[in-house]
Amino acid sequence: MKAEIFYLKGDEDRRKHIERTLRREVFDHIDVDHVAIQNDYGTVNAPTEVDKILRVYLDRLRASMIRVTDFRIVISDSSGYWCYMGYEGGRSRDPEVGKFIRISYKGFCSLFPAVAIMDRMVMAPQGIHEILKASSEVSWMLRPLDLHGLSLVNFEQRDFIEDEIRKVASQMRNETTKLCARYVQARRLQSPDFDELSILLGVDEAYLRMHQSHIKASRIKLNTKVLSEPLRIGKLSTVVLQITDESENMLGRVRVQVRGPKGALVRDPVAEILHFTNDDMRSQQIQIGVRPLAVPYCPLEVLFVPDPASEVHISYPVPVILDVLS
Amino acid sequence: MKDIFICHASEDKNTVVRPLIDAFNRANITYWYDEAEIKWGESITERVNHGLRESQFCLVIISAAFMGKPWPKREFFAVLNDEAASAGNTLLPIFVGTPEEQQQFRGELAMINDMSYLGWEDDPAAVVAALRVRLGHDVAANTMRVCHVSSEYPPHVFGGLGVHVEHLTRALGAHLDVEVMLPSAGNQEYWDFDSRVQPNGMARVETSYANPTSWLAFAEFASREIIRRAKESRPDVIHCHDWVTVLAGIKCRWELGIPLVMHLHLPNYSTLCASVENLGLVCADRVTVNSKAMLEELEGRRLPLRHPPVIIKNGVDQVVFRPCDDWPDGDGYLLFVGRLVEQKGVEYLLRAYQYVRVKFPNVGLKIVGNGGLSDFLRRLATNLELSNVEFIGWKSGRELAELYQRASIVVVPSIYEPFGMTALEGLACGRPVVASREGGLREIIRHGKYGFLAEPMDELGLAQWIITLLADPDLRKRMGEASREYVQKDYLWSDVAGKFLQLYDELKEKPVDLTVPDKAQEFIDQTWNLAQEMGFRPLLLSNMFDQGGSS
Repeated sequence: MKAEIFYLKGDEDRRKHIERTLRREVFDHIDVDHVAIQNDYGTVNAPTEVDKILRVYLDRLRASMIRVTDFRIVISDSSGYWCYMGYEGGRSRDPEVGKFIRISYKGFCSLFPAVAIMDRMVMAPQGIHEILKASSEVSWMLRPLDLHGLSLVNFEQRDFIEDEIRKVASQMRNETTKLCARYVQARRLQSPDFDELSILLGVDEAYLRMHQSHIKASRIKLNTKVLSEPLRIGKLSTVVLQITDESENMLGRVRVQVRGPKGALVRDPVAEILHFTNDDMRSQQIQIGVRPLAVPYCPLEVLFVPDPASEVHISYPVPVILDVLS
Repeated sequence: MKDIFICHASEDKNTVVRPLIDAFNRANITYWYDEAEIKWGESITERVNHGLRESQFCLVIISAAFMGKPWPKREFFAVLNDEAASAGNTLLPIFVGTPEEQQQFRGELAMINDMSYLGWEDDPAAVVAALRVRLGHDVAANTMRVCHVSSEYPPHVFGGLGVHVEHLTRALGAHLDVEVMLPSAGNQEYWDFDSRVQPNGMARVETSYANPTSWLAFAEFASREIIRRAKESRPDVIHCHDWVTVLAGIKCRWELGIPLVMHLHLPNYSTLCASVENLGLVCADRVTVNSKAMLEELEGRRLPLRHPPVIIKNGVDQVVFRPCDDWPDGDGYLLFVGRLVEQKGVEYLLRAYQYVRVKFPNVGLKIVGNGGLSDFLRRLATNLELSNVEFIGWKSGRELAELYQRASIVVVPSIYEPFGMTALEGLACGRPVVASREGGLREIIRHGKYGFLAEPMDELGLAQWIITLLADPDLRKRMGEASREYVQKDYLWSDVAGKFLQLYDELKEKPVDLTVPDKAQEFIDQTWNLAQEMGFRPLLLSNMFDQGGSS
């Protein structure tokens, strides 16, 4: 798991405090990149390395932004000197990039410190809205932390910094757990493949395993029972499945999807939406038309897909075996 | 008159005699063997005497069991008496056991002490080769020479192609001289099974399936070498296997004016390989494939072939892959054998196994093979929370046969399968097979008779049929028995060799047409451009159709 702390040279103490808190609250083995920016950037010709660093800063910021068009930031000082922040040598990656946000040298210094995790800015200084004033040319807004964006932080107060990092840690954990849940559902697994997930998400396997208990505790608690009689081979019958919500907080809307061996189900897959909304509705039934092809059993896969808006639920395929008589 | 009488103790039947008999069948050596010759109610003494009289030689299997039994010894002494009376030399001893035991047996049988003998080393081919010399069998009768160009040969076998080339050339070696042109064997020399099959690895040519242009370089060297050797001993037919070797065959066909057979094992769809493959198909005098599914695939390409493709199915090594009547106690294990690549569909087997375990929690799953998906599949087994899954790595020969023989069911869940050699090996070991209804598997497995077929990528279908078999041990046994008979009848390498021999004979009789086929130049240009893009100049292509000799 990688974090980047963008800061102005001379602000080492604050950078160290941020780093210590990230290690304590997010992950003790977090790989932290210290990205120091020279204080006089925007007033003198800067080495290309600094431009490269600032392009990374802008990329991270763009990742936490909602915007209509891309833009460039122009820094100008009172002496008339100006430059593009993260100058790319005249090349643009987007035809829309000709649109500009103009800031002062002081404004530029106020963009730091900032913290990025998993390739997006998660912490930026309060007042960034004022620094990067909306212009008639460029329309944008920052995405809030809980919507995969960033938190605006008063970096002057250490307590505030620590509090915001705690929020970031909690948000990262929630996002990771949700991604694990979706991954397990998409891959039809019983538990997440941390190895692959760590590559996909760019986070340490150890970080994912740290939240394993949280992931396991999020397993959906639905029990499936076959209510109907054994089937006859080759004969079309209706199978009744009873699905019971055994979770403490009822699950609400759940999509149930049932698959069978090719050719065994009249409709394949069968999908129904069940509403587990109050105690009277804890147990519900679905009916499936099955014409079994083999004796003595017909295997079915029952998959539950909970409402994505509800709290995190890890859903996995449940094997259900029907009895079949010859 | 039979070639040989086999004198043995019944205890040596499974370990020595049956493997020998399979090898004799393949090599067209006739034999007198009590199990086959003595019918119910017949006098054993009379039949054995008849057998001894009617056989040119007597092969004696001398083992600890033999030394302890009076009956085979009586046969042995009868032959010895006969030898002494006629001053002939018809006794061919094979000693079985440790070197110390063999020494001891020779000490006890002083009358044959000065006789040269063979020691049994689990290799029937060595016995066949020695016997052929004594019998003077067709060594001089068939003077045809065929040159195979292959990418694999034992011990460097990575898949079905290598297995095919090994067994086909060995079976052909019973009838004609076979030369096998191969890439460098590296540190481990190619095995020499048979005096009439000569594997030739070209020391300087390193190849890799991961590097397609290495095969273009191989073809260049191989063709040069074949043409050089042809000055002394010209092959009658060139036989190439897959795109990897066919350029050498094309070059030699025009240069030497000899017919070319191309056997397509597995089509390759990457651009460079496919263009070479298509070039081979239009240039070859005969194209052979191993299944109807492959034939249909080939027909779909609508290439102007010289002759309609011919199906010649693979065989199975029935010396190694033998039936076993010992079924596991309890549920035993399911067995997969093959490369761990996407094409083999192992993911679906692991998913199916989830369902199987609900009803049969003790059944195991053994996965034999290596490949790029190895780590992924291990993790999948963990993340499906499956215990009792064993990844064994690559196995071959008797070790592999034992795994088949101890399995309850063999599963072949391929997504794509031109033939399905592992299904055949499973059937040869008398085990029912649950396979995908795909390619060659559809032709090998008769649904409900030798096993069951499920749709490819349908883990619930696979699970359904595996469960059916696990739930009914009698059905497993019935299918196992039916499958072994079927394989013994339909999948002998000697029959496969017979079909190729017929093909070679037909080709040898006809003049080779040296006109350049339609579309050949188009495929040459494609190959040239694609190879150049990969940084290789395939100079061989610039004079592919130059004629150096007469037809």
